[in-house]
Amino acid sequence: MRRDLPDAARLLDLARRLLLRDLAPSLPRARQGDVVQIARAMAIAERELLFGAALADSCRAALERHYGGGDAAELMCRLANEIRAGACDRPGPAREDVRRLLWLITVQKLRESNPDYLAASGIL
Amino acid sequence: MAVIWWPAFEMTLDHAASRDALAAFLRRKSDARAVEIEELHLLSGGTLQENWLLVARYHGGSLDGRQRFVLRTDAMTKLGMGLDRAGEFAVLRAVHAAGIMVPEPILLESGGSVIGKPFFLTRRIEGSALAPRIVAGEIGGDREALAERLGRELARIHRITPPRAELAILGAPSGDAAQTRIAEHRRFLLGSDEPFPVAEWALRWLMHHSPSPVPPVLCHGDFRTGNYLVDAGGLAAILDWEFARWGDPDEDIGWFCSRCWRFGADHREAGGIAPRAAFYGGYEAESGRRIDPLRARYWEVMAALRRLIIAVRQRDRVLIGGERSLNLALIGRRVAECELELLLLTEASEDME
Repeated sequence: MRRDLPDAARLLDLARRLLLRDLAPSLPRARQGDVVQIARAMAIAERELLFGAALADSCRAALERHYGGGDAAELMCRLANEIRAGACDRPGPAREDVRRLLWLITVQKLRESNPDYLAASGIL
Repeated sequence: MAVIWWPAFEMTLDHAASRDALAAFLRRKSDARAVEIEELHLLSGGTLQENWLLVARYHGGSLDGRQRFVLRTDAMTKLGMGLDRAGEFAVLRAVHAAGIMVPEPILLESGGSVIGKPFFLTRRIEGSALAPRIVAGEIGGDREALAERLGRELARIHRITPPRAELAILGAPSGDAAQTRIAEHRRFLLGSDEPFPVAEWALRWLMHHSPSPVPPVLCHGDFRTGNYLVDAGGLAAILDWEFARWGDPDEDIGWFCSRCWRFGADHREAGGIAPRAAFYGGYEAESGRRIDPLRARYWEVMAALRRLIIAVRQRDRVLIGGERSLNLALIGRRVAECELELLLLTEASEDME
């Protein structure tokens, strides 16, 4: 079945704008924080819909490149365990590879959760 | 898991039976003929505890007349960290007696028999702790003066050193505050089913860069914008003492300056309200101790890691504890912010080495 348009991401975008632009000014100051939270949740959901699996896929691909394949969840556990065991303590290419991997995963998560935070950190 | 579910807490305080029980308790604890509850409502803010405005009319006795209190009690689910209400009340009494700017502690009910959970009352101080408004400069007066004043007040807190009989609740201080924190965070990561590779990365950095231990002082443990009250004249009170502990004074400084507590005003590194120099200046003038930027930086890394762990625990109050809180759920989506901060701070430190 083909859904009628607009899609969920577009609906969330419009609903969020209505909330912030039209409803928020009429609400008491004490509820403004709630409005911000609702708008933030809607924005995260909207970005998740827009990105789909793309960000998770890029993290999975990076993990697979690093380890030469495997289940992404297991590879994340392996990465955490290796760091915990001190396998990446020594300065050198191996440490820098892991650092790059951590950066990639973190940035991708922030692209969904809070892209403004990335921008404020000078990361586009 | 860290989250503790308290089914008895489903009863809210504004339930008529709770109000009646509370009024009877206040009368028993006073020399009044009668006590009426005129107002009782939940105050905004506070994800770990509930704070209620309580206005009571005392008839006769030493409190005769209208009294305004804050009733502080546990939230529906608990983090499994920090002091309980009896412990926090003991700390509050000690710091109030030491002349620290805190609301006057009035009484404690630790048994949970009155409203279904332990609580304490403090005198209500007018003002606001709303971080976004403080950071925006809407309240609290001149922000640099506020930061300087906060630095001074923190130095006064740090003058309290062990042993103190009235602070026995805090236990004996550890010999090395950084190692104690590292051990706590390691326990969390080891106990988690979820991998946190950036947190593991930061923990290794913290292990390899730990500063030499210093004599312990009383640390507030959550000294940050959002946990102090301001009025038009500036600082009115330091709030939320549940994480008080004996520790390294630079931990409070790192926590206050951590990016996660600047509420988006990243360029004002002291709590989002002022440059570091204003806060450091107040602290140094009052304490006579110069803040070492490297030690402060170390504790900022620790702060970001601690914030990450707290965010996971807060999130779990929704995912595991069953709380229906959008605020707590959204805190879970801040984990990646802490991770980015950990990567930035540790990389900058290695670049300097």
